[in-house]
Amino acid sequence: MTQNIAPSPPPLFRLPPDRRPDVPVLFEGQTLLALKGETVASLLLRHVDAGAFRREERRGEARAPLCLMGVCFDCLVTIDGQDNQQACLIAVKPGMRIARQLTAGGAL
Amino acid sequence: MTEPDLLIIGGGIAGLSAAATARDLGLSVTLADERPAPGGNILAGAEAPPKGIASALTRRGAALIAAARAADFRPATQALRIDADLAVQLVTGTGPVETLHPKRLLLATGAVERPVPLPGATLPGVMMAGAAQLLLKTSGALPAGRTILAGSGPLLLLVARQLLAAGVRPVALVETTPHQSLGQLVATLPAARHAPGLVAQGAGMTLALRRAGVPWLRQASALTIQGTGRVETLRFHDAKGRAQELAADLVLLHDGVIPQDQATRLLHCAEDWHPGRQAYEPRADLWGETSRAGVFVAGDCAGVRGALAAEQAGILAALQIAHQLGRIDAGKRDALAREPRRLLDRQSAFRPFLDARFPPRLADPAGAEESQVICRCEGVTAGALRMAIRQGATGADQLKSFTRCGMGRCQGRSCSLAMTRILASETGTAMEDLRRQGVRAPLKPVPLGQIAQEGEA
Repeated sequence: MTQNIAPSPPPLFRLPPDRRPDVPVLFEGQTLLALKGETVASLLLRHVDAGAFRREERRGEARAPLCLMGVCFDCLVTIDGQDNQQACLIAVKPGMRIARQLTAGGAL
Repeated sequence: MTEPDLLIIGGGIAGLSAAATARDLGLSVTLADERPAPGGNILAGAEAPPKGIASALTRRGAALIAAARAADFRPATQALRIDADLAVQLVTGTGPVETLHPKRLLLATGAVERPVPLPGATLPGVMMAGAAQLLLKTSGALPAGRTILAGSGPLLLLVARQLLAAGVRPVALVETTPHQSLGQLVATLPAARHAPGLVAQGAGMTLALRRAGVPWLRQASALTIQGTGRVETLRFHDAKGRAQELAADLVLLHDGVIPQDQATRLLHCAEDWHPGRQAYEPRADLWGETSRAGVFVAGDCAGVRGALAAEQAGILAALQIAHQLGRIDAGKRDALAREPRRLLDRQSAFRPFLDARFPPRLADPAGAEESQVICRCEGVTAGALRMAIRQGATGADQLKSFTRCGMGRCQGRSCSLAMTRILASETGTAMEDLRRQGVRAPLKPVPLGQIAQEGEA
C-alpha cells in the first residue's frame, strides 16, 4: 500500500538546521533522507503525521510511537518486506524499504 | 558451542561498566543489546552528544562505549530465551537464533518508564518524556508543535530543561507531584545530604525553568487527553481543583521509572515489592547475584537507583563473577570493591530523597474508570479486568487467560504492573503478597522461521 506523506498536520518532530540527513531510504515509494545511525522511528516521526503512523490490529485504532525504548510495540512498521518490526530499535540503512502498517488486522 | 565467561544482556551504563571491569580481569565477555548502538537510555548518543547534554557522565560513558565497540558487542540483538542452565538464545536482526552457554549471566536491562494508563493515553501525539529525550540525544530532533510535559519525576524536569536549552519552549509543565509540608521536606534531608551535587543540580534545573517563565502548573490532578485521531487537548484539575484545558500537539508524560524485569521474571528469580519505589525488584545479594545461582543483575533493572549507582553496581557484579570463576581471590575482590561499594551505598542512601519527593501520582490504575484501557495491545479495560476478577480470576495469570490482558505483542510490558495494582485493589491483597503474571519465552515476538534456522549460522 502506498500512501502520500501527509503534508498537514505537520509531523511531531523536526531537526535543527545544523543536522544534515544524508542516508537515503525508500519510504512507501519516496526517498527520504535519514541521519546516519538514527532509528526508523526517529526518521518517521519527522516525516509522517502521528495520526497516520500505524493502526493497531484489534480495533484499527490509530497509534504512534509511545516509548521509543522497545516496550510499547506501537511503532511497528514493515522493513524490507518483514512485517511488525519495532521501528524504535532498528537503525536506518541506505536503500532500506520502509512501509507503514495502516490496515487493521492486515499484518497480524 | 560458544561459551564466554560472561554474557551481559543490556549495553547501558551498568552493562558497559561491568564489561569493562570483567575484561580488565581477563574474562571473555559478550555484550548484547537490542538497540543498534550501545549506551542504553542514559548514555544514548553519548559518543556525540548535542549541546547541553554533555557531562562528566557522558564523557566516562563515551569511553566505556568505545571499549565495548572494540570487544564482542552485539547490537540489535535480542535475548529470546534463557534457561536455568544459562543456555541463552540470542537473535540479531532478522538472522538465525544462536545459543550461547556463558559461565555467568548478567542482566543489565535497565529501567522503563512507569506505564501511565490515562484517558486518551493511546492517542497519537502522546509520548513518554523519555522518548522525547532519546530523540534529542540520538538525533537532535526537537518537538515541532505545541508541547506539554505532564506528570512527575526528575526526568520530567530534566527534559523540560533540555528542551528549553535546545530552543523549544513548552506550552506548559503540568506537575502532578503532590504538595509537601515543611515537615515532609525536612524528613528527606538526611537522604539528600548523600548527594548534595544532585540536589544542587535539581535546584538549578528548577530555577532555570522558573526563570524561563514556562507556565508551571503544580499539584495537578485528574489528567485526561482528548482528540480525534490525535492529541488536541490536555485537561486537568489545578491545585485549587479548578478544571483547566490546554491545547497541544504533543503531550509528554512521565511518572518515574521501574525496572525492566522480563528476563528475571522469565527465570523465576525471587522478587520483592519495594514500597518506597512502588515497584517489584529482583532479590539480589550485595554483588547482584539473584536467587538463581550464576544469574546477576546490575543497574536499574535491579531496583531503580540511577545512573551513578548503575555504574558502580556493574563493577561490583563483574568483580564477584571474576572471583567465582577463579580469576581473583576474595582479598583482591574486596579491595577492588571498596570504592565502588562506597559510591553505590551513597547513591542508595540518596535515592529515598527522590522517591519521597516524586511519588507516582499521574495515573493510579486502582482508581481508573471502567472504560480506561490498561492493556494497550489487546484493548483490555479496567472494567473488563474488574469483571473478570469478580467472576473468579483472582490470580494474575488467570486474569490474563480470562481477558487477554498482557497477552499481546508487548507481552505485558506496558500493563503488567497496572493490572497487578487493580488485582491488589479489587481483592484487598497487598502487592507483596500477589503472584505476578508469568513471563515466557520468547521474550520478544519473532517469526518462527528465525527460530527454525537455529544453528545454521
